Amino acid sequence: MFKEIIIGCCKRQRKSQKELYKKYYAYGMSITLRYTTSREQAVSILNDAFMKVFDNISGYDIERPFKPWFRKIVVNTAINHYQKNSKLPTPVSLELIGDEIDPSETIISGISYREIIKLIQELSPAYRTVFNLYVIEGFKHHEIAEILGISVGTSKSNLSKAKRNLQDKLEKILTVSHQYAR
Amino acid sequence: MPDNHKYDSLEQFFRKKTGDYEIQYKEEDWLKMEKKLQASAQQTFQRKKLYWIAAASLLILSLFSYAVMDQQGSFNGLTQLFNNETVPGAIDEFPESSTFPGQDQPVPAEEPDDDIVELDPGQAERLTPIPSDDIPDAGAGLANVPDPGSDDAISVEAAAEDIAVYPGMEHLKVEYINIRNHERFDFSLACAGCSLDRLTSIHLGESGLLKKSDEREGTDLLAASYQHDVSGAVSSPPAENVKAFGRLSLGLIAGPDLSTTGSISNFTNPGYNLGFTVEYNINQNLSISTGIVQSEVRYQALGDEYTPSDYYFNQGIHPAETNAVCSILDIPVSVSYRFLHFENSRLYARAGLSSYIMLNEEYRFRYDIESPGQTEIWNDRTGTRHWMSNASLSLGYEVDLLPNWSLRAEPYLKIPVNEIGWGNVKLYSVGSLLSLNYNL
Repeated sequence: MFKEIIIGCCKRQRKSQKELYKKYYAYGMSITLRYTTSREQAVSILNDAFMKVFDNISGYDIERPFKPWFRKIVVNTAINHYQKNSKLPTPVSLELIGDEIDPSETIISGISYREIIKLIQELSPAYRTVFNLYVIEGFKHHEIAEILGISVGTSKSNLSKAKRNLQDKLEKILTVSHQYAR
Repeated sequence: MPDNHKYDSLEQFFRKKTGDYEIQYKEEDWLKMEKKLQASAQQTFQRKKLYWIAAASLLILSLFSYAVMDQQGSFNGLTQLFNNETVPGAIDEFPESSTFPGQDQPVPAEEPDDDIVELDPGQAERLTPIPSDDIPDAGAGLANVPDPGSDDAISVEAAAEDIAVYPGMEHLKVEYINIRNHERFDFSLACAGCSLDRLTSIHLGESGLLKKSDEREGTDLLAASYQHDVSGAVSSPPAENVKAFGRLSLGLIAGPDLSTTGSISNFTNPGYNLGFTVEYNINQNLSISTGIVQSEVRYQALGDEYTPSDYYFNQGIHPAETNAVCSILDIPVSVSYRFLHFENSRLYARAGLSSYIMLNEEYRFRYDIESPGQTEIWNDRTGTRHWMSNASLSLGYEVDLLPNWSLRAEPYLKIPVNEIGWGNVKLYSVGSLLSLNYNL
């Protein structure tokens, strides 16, 4: 079944392309949401990534798993987007995907995916990118430095600051939840 | 994951949580994706179409050139034929008695001949009559053409053989000799190295005045003389294949244009060129020209290839792609050199500089990141002038249609010297110009 979708994509059949898009939409969005500050931006990066997938689908080895290959393209597209816009002023208004924090889910283990993404999106672009690459994607600092064109020291510094910010936000959530719990 | 990560609880927490994603599919996101795919397919189709147009143009030009060259070759073949053979029914059919056909026929009285043309003194001076001593023995030369009805048919025939082997006949000016036959029997004597198309050549020689050949009246050239240009005493005319040129040429030009920024690639829809040129011929090979050409230029600029001087874009978000349609007045100044001449055509190379006056500029922007208030379209009659902003190189082929009219096909390449337009782009252009020229 999946093989037929890939073959259809190689022939640029729209139906097959849509099938592949729907199948990996959620997975792709879970990556791009972490690199952007709004859902629109995340969709834009995801669509750019899918364009690259469709343009290069004939180079994909069907015997190997698709997810890692797709993930690599999405992450690279997200990094390119970050590098293009890293010198631009950060948009003032941030559109966050989550609703307000539900007071009934305030203990740390009950924090939802949406809230986690919201926390990550609130980081500055530099901290957010290094955090994603190191913590989620598993790159080492020297690899991150090479990818982003920064020094290893800057990579470590940004990661440290990102973790501190997230720690602070989580502690605030814990404090609020304890107050509600009383 | 690297081992040193696993002991950091915060990292583990985030890693676990981000893996538990629950994201709903949205059809509107696919619709955006589909638009991108359609735009990409359209671009690919346009690019392929342009390649086919370029290939077809090249093929047509090649066939055209081949046809003209072939025609030239056929003409030369005919010349060769006349040089090597006699008219059927001529020499070979001469009776062995060597009496001249029709020699017994009464010769009509000479009628006053208005067709005899005398050369003017200037022309006569240039001609060097060959002293009879210089004419080889066997080659009595055409200066001693027998009168019709004479018994000198043999000498004419002998003269023909000698002329065929006579050295240095390359500059023989006499085209051919016909001996009038009252029964309209023609004997043509071709000469090596002659150009039979020069039927209007007129020479003055020892034999006296000549008669122009007029086929319509059935009048044959009675006699002719030749000039032997071994010494070079007679100034040769220009190479026979070079057309006599006028000083001034006016041209009407039109053709498609493909433009782009950054490099020679990523063309979009073709624009056009339409205008007038004036050319001054310094000599038969070199000329300078200028003109006014209105061009519609269409191109696509990506990212930072498009940089307006004002910080124009909302929140500093630069468009990912800019599609431009500009109306430009092009004032070219160029020098051309004709390096290969054929009978009725020539090849030339041209180099020059173009100055652009921007009549109208229209730009449409596409963004990767959409946000409210973004500029999607910009349009203005800017009128900005960009002097000597583009250099042009071209190779052309010109073919003569009529004595004063010619047609040219000239593919060109333009490369930027300076940036132009509101977006300060470096514009590359390729295209082909067809022009109809009137030579004064």
